[in-house]
Amino acid sequence: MLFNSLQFLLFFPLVCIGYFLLRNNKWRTPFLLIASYYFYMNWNPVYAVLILTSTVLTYACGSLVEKHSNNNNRKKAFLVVSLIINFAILFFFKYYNFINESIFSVLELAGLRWPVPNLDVLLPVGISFYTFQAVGYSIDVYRGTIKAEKNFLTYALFVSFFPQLVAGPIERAKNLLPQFHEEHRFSYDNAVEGLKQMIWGFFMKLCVADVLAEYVNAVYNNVPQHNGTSMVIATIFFTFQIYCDFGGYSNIAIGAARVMGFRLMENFHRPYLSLNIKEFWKRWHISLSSWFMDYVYIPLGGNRVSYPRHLLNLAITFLVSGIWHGANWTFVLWGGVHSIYQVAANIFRKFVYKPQYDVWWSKLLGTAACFIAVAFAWIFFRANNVNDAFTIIGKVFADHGPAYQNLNVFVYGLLGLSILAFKDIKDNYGYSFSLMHSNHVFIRYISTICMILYILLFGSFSSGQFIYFQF
Amino acid sequence: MKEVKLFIFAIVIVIVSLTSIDFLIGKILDYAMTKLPNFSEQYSKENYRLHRMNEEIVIIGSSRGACHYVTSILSDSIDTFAKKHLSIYNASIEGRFLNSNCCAAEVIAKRYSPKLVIFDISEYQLREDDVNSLEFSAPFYWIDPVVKKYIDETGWKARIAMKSNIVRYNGKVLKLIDEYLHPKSYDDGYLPLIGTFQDTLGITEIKQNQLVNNSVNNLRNVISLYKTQKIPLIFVSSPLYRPSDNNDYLYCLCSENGIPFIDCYNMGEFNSHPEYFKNRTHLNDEGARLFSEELFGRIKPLLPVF
Repeated sequence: MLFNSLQFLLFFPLVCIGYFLLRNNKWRTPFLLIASYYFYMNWNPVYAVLILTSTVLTYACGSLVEKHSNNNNRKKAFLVVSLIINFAILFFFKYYNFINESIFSVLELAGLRWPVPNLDVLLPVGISFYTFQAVGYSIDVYRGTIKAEKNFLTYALFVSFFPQLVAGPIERAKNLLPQFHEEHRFSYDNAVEGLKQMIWGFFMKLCVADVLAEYVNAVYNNVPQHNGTSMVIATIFFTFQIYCDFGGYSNIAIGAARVMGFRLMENFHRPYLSLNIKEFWKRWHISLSSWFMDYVYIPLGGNRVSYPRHLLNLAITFLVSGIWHGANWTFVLWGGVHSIYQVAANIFRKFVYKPQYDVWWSKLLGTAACFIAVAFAWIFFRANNVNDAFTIIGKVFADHGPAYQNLNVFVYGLLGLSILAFKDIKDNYGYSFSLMHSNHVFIRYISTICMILYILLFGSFSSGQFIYFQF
Repeated sequence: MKEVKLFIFAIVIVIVSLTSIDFLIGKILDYAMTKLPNFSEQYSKENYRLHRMNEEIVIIGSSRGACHYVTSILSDSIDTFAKKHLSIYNASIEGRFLNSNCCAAEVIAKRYSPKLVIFDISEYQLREDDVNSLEFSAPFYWIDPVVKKYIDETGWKARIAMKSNIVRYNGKVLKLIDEYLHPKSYDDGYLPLIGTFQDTLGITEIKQNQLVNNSVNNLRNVISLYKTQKIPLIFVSSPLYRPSDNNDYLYCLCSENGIPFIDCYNMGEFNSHPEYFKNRTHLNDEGARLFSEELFGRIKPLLPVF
């Protein structure tokens, strides 16, 4: 079920009413679990088997790891089993065809045959998200950071909690699991703040991301027909499209959970106002970045190793992050570009110059440079294939002329972007002026109603899926 | 309990306010829609073809229809043939695919009886679910029962969405303002495209989907209505730059119902001739003029006595 669908607008209030009518967690947990599986099975009921498999497996391994906490070898063995099976499922559905095709292409270049056929399977929605969440739980139990969850239903709900099930935030067990044991009473503040965050999320998705997508798709899906000027505009638009698509989803997820009294972690913190690339990754897809930090970068040694090894750890982490995003060389290249950024920025800071960002122009310069670097990397992320990506880059630097025009996108998209920029800049630099959170009740109501009207009148309701569902 | 009451109160205020504003904005936009200039490109043309059009010869289609039928050429040829002046209008509009055009055809037939209707159609339109193109007709949902019927048939979500006046005008306000401020008058509905294109894509395969039942039924309903009302109807499949599919089902449908079908989809004079095309799907002005002349030669034997 999509957040931006009428079904969800009916489903969500019903779930909230049911949740608060059931006053005991004994009933609330199975109720939310059924609602979450219903939410997920709306895409394809068969997918539920996979999430259930992952749930049962990590629950059992978590319990066994804790049971054998005094026997390191057994503990490790159970963790390894959990990781292998979870990643095997992920590999099978997400990467098998990609690797098979890559082997085929390489062998074909060498004049050899590779007779292994591709598999005709659909990528289950959100598999990377819930697999990482479940794997994170297993590792945390192994490390002793958390206790294994005793109640299977509670654990199953942790893996499948519908607001963050298909595109995150990838929650940590120590943050979310205890909340399923709390008795949430209805709170006016939580409900209102949650709904406002959902409205803002819908605005980002429907009024910015999906509007800009029209231009981006027209250009990126038809590269030979467009010149460099259109490519530059489309790339800048995609930079905002992906932020508003994924950031919008995260806001709706966090808001929906908050209405019911759950606090999910922040996933985006105005990333395009970052002063440098290091800061960008602390503000972009925070739940994934911190997952990679905790479960990949630090186990590799982090920065407590020799300097060259530290740089290698950075590069590996970002390369793996790229591969996590999708089974395509474009994502590998995107991860590779960010690896290079990280390594280069680290060397620059250590050996050349460490910017202080103490005056306004240095902040502006840093923000602009970071934005351009990130936008450039998005070319690889959005391009349909590697050839297209390099053609686009070639055109960006050479082939300029009159840009492809789309009045609707320019007017509605730029209007939406202006509102987004206004809010992000205001929040980032701490201006006290506020509309939907104003101290005056009249302004609060008027601005909330205006925002809903804006979405209904100018939002794009036909584009459907969120970009990150494919991951 | 106090917090619940407070929350319900807040929600009621928001819903009542939204409903009132929705009603008000809907009334204003409905009024603005009736005051649109006659032709132009999108909503004024839709309004015209549904409510004001009274021409004797009508061409219905999508953007391909709008760009391929030069009304002045067809008008001169038909006038010469009929030995009297017959008014003609190209009522094809960009973005209106089969279901939208079937809807328009039904509205027109229920309002008056044109002497000839040329329906631009290609079989791939019967194989694509194009319910989204009906969103262009949403402003007329409460005005035309036929429009309401077509939109209602697309499902419960559309029926709920149409309850909101603002949603009916979703994404349309800018275009409405533009049509007010910059009304464009074309050659009786014909939209000329200037320039040629560079074929850099080569051959692209079109995947042939299954026939969409809803679209087939809508087309059958139009055929049946036109036969009942004795309105002469001719289906024409205008040229495509490089078609990789065919119109087999349309041939069957037309022969089954005794409707003339002129298939120019794979016409040799146009296929793979970029000089006649603005892009892969649309003829440019030069191509459209050549096609309109060719078309008259083909429809001449099929024309009714005017």
